[in-house]
Amino acid sequence: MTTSTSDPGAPNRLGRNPGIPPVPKRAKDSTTMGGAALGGTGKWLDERLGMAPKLRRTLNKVFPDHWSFMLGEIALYSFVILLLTGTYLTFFFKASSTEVVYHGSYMPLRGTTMTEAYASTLNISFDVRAGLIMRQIHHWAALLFVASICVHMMRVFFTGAFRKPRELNWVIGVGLLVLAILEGFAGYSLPDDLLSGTGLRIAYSITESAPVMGSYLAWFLFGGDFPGDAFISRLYAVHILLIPGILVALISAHMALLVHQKHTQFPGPGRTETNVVGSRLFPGFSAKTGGFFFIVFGACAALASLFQINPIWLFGPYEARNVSAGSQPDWYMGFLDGSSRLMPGWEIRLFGHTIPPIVWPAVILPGILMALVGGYPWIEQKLTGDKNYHHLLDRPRDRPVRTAAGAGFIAFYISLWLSGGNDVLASIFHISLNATTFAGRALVVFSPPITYLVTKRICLNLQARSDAVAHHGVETGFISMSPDGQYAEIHAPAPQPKHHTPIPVLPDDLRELEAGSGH
Amino acid sequence: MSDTDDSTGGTIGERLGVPSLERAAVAPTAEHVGPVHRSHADAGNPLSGGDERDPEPDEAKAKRDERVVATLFTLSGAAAIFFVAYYWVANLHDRWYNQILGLSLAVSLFLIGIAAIYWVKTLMNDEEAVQERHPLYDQRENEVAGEVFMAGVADSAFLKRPLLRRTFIASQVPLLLAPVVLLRSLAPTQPKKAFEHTHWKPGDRLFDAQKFQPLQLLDPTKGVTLDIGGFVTVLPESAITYEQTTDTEGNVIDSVPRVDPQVEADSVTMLLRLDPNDFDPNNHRTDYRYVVQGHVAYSKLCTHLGCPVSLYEQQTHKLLCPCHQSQFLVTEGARPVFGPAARSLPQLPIMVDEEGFFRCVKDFDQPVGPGYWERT
Repeated sequence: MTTSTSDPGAPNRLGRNPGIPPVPKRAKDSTTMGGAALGGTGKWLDERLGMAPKLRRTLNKVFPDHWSFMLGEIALYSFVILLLTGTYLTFFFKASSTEVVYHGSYMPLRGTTMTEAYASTLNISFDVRAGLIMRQIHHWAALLFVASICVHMMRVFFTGAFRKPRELNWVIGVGLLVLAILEGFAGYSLPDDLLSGTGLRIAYSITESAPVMGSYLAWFLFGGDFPGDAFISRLYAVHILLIPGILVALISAHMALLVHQKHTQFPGPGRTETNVVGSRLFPGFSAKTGGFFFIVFGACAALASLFQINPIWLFGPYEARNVSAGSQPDWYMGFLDGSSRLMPGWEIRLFGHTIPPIVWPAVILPGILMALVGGYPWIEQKLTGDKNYHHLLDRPRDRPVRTAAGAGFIAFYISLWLSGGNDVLASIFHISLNATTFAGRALVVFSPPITYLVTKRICLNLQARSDAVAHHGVETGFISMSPDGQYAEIHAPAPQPKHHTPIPVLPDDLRELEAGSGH
Repeated sequence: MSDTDDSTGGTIGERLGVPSLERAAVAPTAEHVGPVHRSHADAGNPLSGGDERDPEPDEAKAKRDERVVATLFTLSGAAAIFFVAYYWVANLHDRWYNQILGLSLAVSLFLIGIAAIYWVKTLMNDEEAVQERHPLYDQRENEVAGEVFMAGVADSAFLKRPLLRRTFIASQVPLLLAPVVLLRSLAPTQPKKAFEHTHWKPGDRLFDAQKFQPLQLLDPTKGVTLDIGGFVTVLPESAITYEQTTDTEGNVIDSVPRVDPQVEADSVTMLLRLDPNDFDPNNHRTDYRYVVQGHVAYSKLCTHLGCPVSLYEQQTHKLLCPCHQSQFLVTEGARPVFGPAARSLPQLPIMVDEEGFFRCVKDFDQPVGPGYWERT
């Protein structure tokens, strides 16, 4: 097949060309044995499903190329990896709080009383072939899943891809982020080790703190007082059925909307608000993205082989009387840990009721953050009055206010996130723990406005530089002297990116195609 | 750009006899490109992409590329075979089992991925294609769909027959409430009372939670005693049981201590011994009736989020919670002096019996652990 690349007239090229009706090409192609088998299967299916027009349009669907469009793909592929490895883990994990005495091959814990959940996780790690590698791939893929969602969202935010008509897909994406965080937390809480058990106790206490109905919520979730014996099996149902089910549904909706609305693209020669320029789904895009799936999977496998993650056997089983110093949650919970640390102990007592201080940093704050992020498309529409369709993306510098606001938000998030490890920072840099807390409080208040101002200034300067290059060209380093003795640097026109004329794909309507081809 | 195409005989479409369609559709002239953005003119704009591949690679190079891709696929297959073989053959407990197994999988996956992308980049043309967007919204379509929907509503008589409509809605409300009511089964009891009490009962001896021995004031041979500045985590003796394994003759051959997690979760307490002079005389939080020769007991559950307050700094008499760094001053009734906690650690009333054993006088006089709505 490869020889055809030098022979544009070869049969397998024709179907991709707008001018040639696909039917004679198929007939020619099936002269080979494989082609005949494929054509036969295709015909059999088509006679029953009638999918040929849809298939043709799908194969010809155009996807714009840009490295930043791969970030969402990383999220999708890590989710697929999570489903694959997670299914394997369910074969061996026992979601039970029944206490057993451990007799497995990890010597330091032999003879210890622990829940079956913890014992079976030890079993997966030490006595199931490929159990540890699957567990570690699962955990690394979970970290990557949330991280790639966040970076993908930043791409969408800073390039304005969330604007009309894509506001709904932005909201679905925010929902996916929240669910991914909950799913990750549920997942690393299941083994019932000392670290995750401490996290669950904190989760119970945060739930309990919610005004009016908090104690009932916690009571219903855990089936009674902490820890109870119901929660691990309930959490397991949530982790392997409920949230993954919603994730699959929302991801499907996210992708369906993406396909229906067509992808955004950066401005460039030949790219307009009314077209899409890029690779066709088949073969270019599907081969690239398929290959990329394997690279993401390979990266997770390499991380899982080389870097130990969540070594639950070092933490020991959960016991309410014990805790390990410097205990850190998975990275995506860090900002809540930080906000919980920074909040002063301001308790409200009213009419015989208590509003614990933890409500503000752990319930209200994440609620406000998610509402701000989810509602941003409408906030921007309100502020700019722009209700037009936008399929061409912005360069972040061209929208200095949005870019600066986003950077300020990230500064706020990072301040909280860093404060989630302030005890670790204090011990690494030998500074007082209390000083890191005060520093964190100052950062949370002052870093967002400072970041906003600095980012806006940078955007405006970059704009000015773009303008200068556009109008005067690039500096060459050659200095010329004019007859009257003035020195000036010679500017050359900016080099234009090399660009091939895109070839249009088959129109959606077959009649249109035949009329256009002139045959 | 079109000059380049002409020099190699025009685009593929043109050579196949369809010049007009694509020229009209995509020639990047000003009127087709639409509004010129600032970034168009920007040198080296990273966002504008652009495909720099040679459109007509020669056959020798294609052969070389084919061999590269084929080699990558072969190596990937070999790594996968190694993975499967190693899974079967190697000893699960080998030092490097996980690393070798995982890396062989990683190599196999990586090579497939790299091969696929190399294939696209060298052997497929993967020309840039252009596709028109179709308007998402069409006013006429929208109106027709609305009319069809309203015709359906009229046909259903939903609006015309209010009795039908009202009974339908009235029947749905209780039916939708049913699953909410079913959630009541998640917890059969009420939370408020349970939060107000722990498992400490009057007369319970204080047991060291690590050594599983009672706390003693007088005689170190009968239990655990504390020096000044010392502290120990204690549990009510009812929390500790022993799981005994017996041989065929009924002799105990093994005895594993077990801590009831439900008791531990609310009753875990710290017993500290201070120099009696260290207590701040001005503080009214400490109940001196229950301080025995400098021994004082506080709930170990942080009033912030319920973590065990595990770190004790003797010099400053501060207890530190490692979760969120709340600090409690034990010389002043364990009041919070720094960090996010709002309330003091409750003090457990303790006494010493005639044999020198520490015993609980009564349960805490307030709820332990974090705050909640019903708490006064």
